[in-house]
Amino acid sequence: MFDVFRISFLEYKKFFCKKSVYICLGLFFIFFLMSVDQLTKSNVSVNPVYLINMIFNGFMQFVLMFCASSLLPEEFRCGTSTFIFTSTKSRTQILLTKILFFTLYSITIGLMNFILITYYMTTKNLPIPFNNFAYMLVFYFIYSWFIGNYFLFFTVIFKSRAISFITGLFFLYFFSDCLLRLSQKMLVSTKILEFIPFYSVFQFLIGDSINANKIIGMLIGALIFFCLSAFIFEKQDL
Amino acid sequence: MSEILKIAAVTKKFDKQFALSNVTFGLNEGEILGLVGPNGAGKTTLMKIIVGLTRNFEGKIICNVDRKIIAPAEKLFGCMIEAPKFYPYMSGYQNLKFFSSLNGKLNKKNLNDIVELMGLSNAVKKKVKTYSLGMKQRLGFAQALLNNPKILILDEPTNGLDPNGINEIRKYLQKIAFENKVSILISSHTLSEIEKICQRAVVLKKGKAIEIIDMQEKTYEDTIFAFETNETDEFLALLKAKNIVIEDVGEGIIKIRLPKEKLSSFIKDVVLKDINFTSVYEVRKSLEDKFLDLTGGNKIV
Repeated sequence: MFDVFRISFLEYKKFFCKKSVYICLGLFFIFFLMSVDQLTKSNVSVNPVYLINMIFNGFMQFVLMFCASSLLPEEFRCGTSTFIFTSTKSRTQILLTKILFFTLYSITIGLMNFILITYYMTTKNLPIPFNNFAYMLVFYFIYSWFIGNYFLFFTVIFKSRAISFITGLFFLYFFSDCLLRLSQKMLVSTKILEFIPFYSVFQFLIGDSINANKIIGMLIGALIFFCLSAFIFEKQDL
Repeated sequence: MSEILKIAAVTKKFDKQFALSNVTFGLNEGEILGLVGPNGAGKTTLMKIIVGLTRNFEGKIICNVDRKIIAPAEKLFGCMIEAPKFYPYMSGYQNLKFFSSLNGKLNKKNLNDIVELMGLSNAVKKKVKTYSLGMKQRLGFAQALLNNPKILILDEPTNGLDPNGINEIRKYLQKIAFENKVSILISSHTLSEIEKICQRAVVLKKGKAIEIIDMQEKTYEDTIFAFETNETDEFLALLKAKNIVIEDVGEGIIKIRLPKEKLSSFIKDVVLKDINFTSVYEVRKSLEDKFLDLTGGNKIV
């Protein structure tokens, strides 16, 4: 198990070898700061922390989905799958390292959120909301587990980043919309729906409170998708 | 020599087409075994099955390696299948470090030795995207050798290498097979290379192992003798009378197939018949000749 953590950290280091990561980060920071600055100048009476979270999470959900769709296809695109999947680690272990890397990556995004809020609040002489930081870390941790495993399932089937991203996104919106309609028509109790990750995944993003039902639902959902991915992947010809 | 790897009745179908059909052979400890065949014969498919990339097949791959002899930082299989590819945004050294660490604790000494051996010391710190085909091939070879594998599976390892590189790799493979008892399965279209390096070669054709040629015993060399003579007609008449197989008739040269022990008595017959000949010599068939015979001179090799 220790090996899996070690390799996840190697994956994390590998990710930061890409020049494009730094370019995207730089561009995002510039765009983000400009947007927040414009919004606060327009005298909208909204809590700045809520506003920053809205913009940041709204953007980052797609970044995370796209990154999750790239976890496995990158190896096929680079042609390194032959080396990776003939190593001493099993395919399931490799999938697990990819998910752990994705979690680390998501937590880094949570940290970015904290840095931005701290920067903004300091410049405006406002108190730093540490409780928001804790919330964001938990949010990104749980969200990444579900989104990572959910998109991994599609990448195991399609081996293509673009197809996995589009298919995953389509089903995510489709199921979540269906469940939302069910709840609006009072056909199913909200307490039950909270256990279904497709129902709560978008509520996470709009800053709805995290409760135990949602956390359990997301974690179980992630586990189901991981087991399905591992089961299919172990039997595939690469 | 003990058999370290057994390929037992391996069959693989793609849709309704057989890519491999009942392929059976063994790889001995410390042996270098060649895998030859025309394009589409099933060499890469078989290698992918052996290393576990292809999982849906019939038959068995039996590995007789005591897992206890493999240290934590070592691995059972080292492989290079198809053209080696790496993370282009990382340096050669970073790539090797990553793949080495995948198999266990990073062995820096082993890594540096291999880098030096592959002649990559100057280039290893550069990004892989700047590498030439030959350099990528060397890096791929280095990757396969990381963590001291017990069995090496190499698909066209000398592609894109210069003659010096080919020579260095050949010597190194022979060294590790002899000294470290590493078993090597190697496929190549350069049959002269296979002939130089391998002890045996498995010939694949349309997914079937049609022959296993033993290079050391030279059993693949049929005893063919060439007679240089001006009296071709008389010579051919004698061959017909003696019921000897004629291999080829050229201008002043007749090649016949004959057991070695019968050569002297045949020469006596020729002398008794008063047929003049200027020389007689044994014709050795190269692996390439044998390969072309077996595969029907397939031109897509």
